[in-house]
Amino acid sequence: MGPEQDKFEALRRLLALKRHEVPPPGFFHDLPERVRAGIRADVAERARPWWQRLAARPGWRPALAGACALGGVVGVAWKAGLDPGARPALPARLAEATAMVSGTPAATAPPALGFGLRLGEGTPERADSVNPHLSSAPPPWLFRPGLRAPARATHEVPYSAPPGFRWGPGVVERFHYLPVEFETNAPAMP
Amino acid sequence: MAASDSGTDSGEERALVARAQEGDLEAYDTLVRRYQERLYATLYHMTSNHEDAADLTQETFVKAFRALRTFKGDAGFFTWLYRIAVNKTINFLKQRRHRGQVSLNDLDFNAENDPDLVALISDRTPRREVSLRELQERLNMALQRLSEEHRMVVTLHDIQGLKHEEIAAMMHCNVGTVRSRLFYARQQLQAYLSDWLK
Repeated sequence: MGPEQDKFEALRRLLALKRHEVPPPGFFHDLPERVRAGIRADVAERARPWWQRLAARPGWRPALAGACALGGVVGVAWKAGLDPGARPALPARLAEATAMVSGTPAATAPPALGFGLRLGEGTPERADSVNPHLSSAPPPWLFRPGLRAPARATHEVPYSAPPGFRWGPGVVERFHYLPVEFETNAPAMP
Repeated sequence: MAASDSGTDSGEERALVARAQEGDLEAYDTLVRRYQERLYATLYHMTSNHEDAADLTQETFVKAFRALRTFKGDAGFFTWLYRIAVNKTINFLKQRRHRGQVSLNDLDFNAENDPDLVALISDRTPRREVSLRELQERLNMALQRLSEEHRMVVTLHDIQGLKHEEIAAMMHCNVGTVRSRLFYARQQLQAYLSDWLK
């Protein structure tokens, strides 16, 4: 017995008490049968298809409900992102008017980002917004001397308007950048 | 039960294991009866809870039967079985850490006559039975304050009497780690139980 053993001799004798702890009577008699039952249950469990095993697990119902709810939310959001009718009506009309005036095809509009918005479309939903969405393309007559600019901003729609187009205050802002000076700079048409 | 006869890797046991690997439940039943007391005792000393130890013992035997085909015989069946039990118990205890409840077993009749224990308690109280129960509770509480790894080493060595090498094989560590864990765990226990060890 080394010095380390001597140091812990009292502890070793105290730990001997643990060897006298015994389970309830009959426990070891019943345990092999419990083990056999557990093995049979395990074999039967592993023979079942995976979805039945999944369904048998506790807590699968809340998880399924949560997954369905999440799927529903994603589905609604996806539908809203694809459906043009779900987007605000005024920006769509502005885009059409911009396409008409600038000559840019409406089909070149930025791709949808989802939730009814398009790239670069921080569009005001109100016509009196201080941050209207304006086209970055120059007017078609600006660098084409032969093409005469409109005489002035007018309340008349200069070109053919799509069905249902209505003139409104928001559209007026779209034409504010057409200065009258352009009329004097532009060469006179024969 | 404390004696270290874990090297029982006789031809008879190998035959039982081979039959169990073929799905013979009778053969496996024999192995269960052979090792159930020692396995249960280890798990009980680790958990200080009879119900938890009973469930863990059953689950260990079920899992061992399922994994029996992977048993190659490199180590003895007892060592292989204990590896499963050790891993399962340590995982269980790490999950149970914040709700450690004790459910202590009764002491057998021999406890009152154990000369080591009699020497410890004789000068503390004339009511030996009450004192033994109190000592049992204090001892289990002190063991529960150790980490799972330190408690496992003390249980396997100081209570169940396994050798350092056997413990190292069961816990996937080297013998030096077993020795250092044992030394540290004993120091901790001695501090926790200082009023009983004066």
